[in-house]
Amino acid sequence: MKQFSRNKKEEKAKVPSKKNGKNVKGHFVLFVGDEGGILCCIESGVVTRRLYSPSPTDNATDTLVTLLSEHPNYPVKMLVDTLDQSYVKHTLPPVTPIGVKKIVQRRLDRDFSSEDIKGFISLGRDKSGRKDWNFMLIALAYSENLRNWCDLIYDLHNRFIGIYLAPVESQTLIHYIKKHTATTTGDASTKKKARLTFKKKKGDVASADISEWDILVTNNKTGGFRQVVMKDGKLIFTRMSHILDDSNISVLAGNIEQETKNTIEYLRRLSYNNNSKLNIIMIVGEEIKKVLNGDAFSANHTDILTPYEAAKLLRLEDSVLSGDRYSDVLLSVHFHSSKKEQLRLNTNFIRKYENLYKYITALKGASILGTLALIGASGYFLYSALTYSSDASSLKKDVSNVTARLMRFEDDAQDFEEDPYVVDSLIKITDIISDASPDFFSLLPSLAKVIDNNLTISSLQWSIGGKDDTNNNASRRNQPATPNGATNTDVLFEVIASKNGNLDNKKIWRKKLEFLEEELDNYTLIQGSVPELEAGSDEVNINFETLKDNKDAQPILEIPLQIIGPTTDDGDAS
Amino acid sequence: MSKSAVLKKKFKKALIIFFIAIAVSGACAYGAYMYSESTLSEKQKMKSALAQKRLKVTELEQKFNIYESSFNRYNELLADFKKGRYHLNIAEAQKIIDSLRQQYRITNLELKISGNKPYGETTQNYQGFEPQYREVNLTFYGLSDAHIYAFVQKLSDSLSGYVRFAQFDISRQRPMSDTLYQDVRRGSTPSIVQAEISFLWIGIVRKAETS
Repeated sequence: MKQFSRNKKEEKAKVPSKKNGKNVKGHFVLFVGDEGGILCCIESGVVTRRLYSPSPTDNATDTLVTLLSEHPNYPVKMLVDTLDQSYVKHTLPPVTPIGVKKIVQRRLDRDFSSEDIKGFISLGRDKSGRKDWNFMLIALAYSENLRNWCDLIYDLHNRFIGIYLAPVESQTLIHYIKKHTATTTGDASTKKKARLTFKKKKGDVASADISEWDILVTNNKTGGFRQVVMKDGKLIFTRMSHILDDSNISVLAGNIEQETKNTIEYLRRLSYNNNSKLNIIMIVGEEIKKVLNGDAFSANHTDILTPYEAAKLLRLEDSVLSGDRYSDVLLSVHFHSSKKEQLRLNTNFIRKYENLYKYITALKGASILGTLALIGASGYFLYSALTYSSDASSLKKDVSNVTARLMRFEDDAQDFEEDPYVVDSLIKITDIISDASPDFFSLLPSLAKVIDNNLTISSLQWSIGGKDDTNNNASRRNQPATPNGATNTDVLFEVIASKNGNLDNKKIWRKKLEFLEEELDNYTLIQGSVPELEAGSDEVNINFETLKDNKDAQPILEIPLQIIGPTTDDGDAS
Repeated sequence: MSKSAVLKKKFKKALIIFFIAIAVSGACAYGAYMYSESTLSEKQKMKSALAQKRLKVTELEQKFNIYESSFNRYNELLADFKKGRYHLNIAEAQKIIDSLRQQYRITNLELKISGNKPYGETTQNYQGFEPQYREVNLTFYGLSDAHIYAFVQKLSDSLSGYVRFAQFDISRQRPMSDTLYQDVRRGSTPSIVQAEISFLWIGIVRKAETS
């Protein structure tokens, strides 16, 4: 077994303590290739362990099994990058989205072996013409090697979520690396374009594409050199090259260059030409990077990165070591951190167990929902019970009151021999004579509030108005009669100026009148004519004779005020 | 243990948890429902008892040919009537006015009280009792308007029956001065504010009394 791991100190820091381990949500990603498999244990988004086994039947898998067994609650995802993958692009007629899936399924059954694990990804519809559907039909051979890897996981308690294909899942890797290289290392126009493109449709892999063609070249320990080609952001082609001798770096780099050139040549058959834009991203070890010549491909943009540099761009540097030569771990951890899976493939075994997991999840959900619903119902019933109980106690009081009344009535009424008409008459008479009518004393509190040293009442004449009034005082005083039921009050106020000699009685009066108007808002206030109060007038009438008994005689202003009301809500006097 | 067995165990566990959760919360809900039903039943019982009692009251009302509320009110009113609460007794009124006159330092008081007159619509036929009123005119002097207000208010409250004011005139005859203040302080009762008041004094008499 070959275990490549960070140094002990670094690893210790990354591995969660046993105490907290239970709370850590972890996952396993098993990267499977023709040359072995790498198991990455990812806890809190960071790779804490990574183990390599050259074959599923190799003794080295014991360590993998042990690690998997230590964390039976960690689910496993298998990321496959084997040679036996088929990608066939199909154009289908413009039918409904539901109908097209049935057609795709039939094509998959027809075109591929029943043994294969099959799936498809949508490449969208044509923008012109019949608007046909474009699909990439994908088949993964269920080879002996893959079967053994799957069996390894089937036997364990860990949940096997599904099988994923590294080339398909790499699409997002290309997108993110392009975005980050454009915004960190590119020229200003490229950066701007990248930002704009990214903002335009965030998360949309296809629309974030800057160039028309993208080639991703990764060097994987479990397989070899994987090339993934995208056109307009859609996967169009992928191939893997096995390089047998990796001892000579220059030969290796030469091979990569040659294989990449071969791919570009092949792309010319798929509508690639000299006017097309081409981006190349290569993720290779440090030694190969030094030797590789990025200008050899005549691409518009070539990024040659080590796995660690790529991880830094993707903010996954905690999971990849600076000395890493291969991309398997990078691809695994990027796949795990991706929010959206591109394509999940399931064997019958996985499907069966996934259904069980779905039932368990559904049961848990139903438990929670059912409990919440029943708790809600309990709350409702309890609330109702409390309301009913309160109503019942109130009714109980009513019952006891009525019972007491009933008993009293029963006892007293036995001897009651009065004519009901007499009873009725007395009640009616009392209601009539006690009927509230306009009362002089209702005015008094308001008038009392304005009377002070500066304002006194010289005379007050209050009378009730209306046709039934026995003493029609209004007519007696030759003043307008008040409406039926209302009262008329004529008040003669005396405003006394302050002792400092200033004749500010006008000011005093205005203030008091405003207050009265507010206070008696359901009465009509009519001020009599007073020449001194006319606008612009400085006339002063002082009768010192009437004040001769008063040694501190001060100028007095006499103001008549008529108060009519009260008015009803309709504005009429009651 | 195989994966299948583990999963089945997990499924069983989830199923048991589901049933326990549903059973426990269902039991709680059922308990709450039953409690709610019992309180509702209690409420219905009380409602029914109240309706029965009210029905009994109605039956008695029909039996005695009188409403229970009218019966109670009549008894209260009759008790007040017997106490003289609605009598238009001139002697009593004179006594009250005299007492209040001294209390509020009222001078030159002239009192005119008319005879009893039927109050309200003459066509209204009352049985047993009849509303009547007297017209009352008061002319007097007070030390201040405040004395007059207080005197009239107290008179209104003290008289039996109801008082309905028709006219209330006051006018200051002399302005207040230091000399007047000193006179008042010495105990004299100068006539400073004149008042003329008219009101209807309304009461109830038994028809037998009038006849």
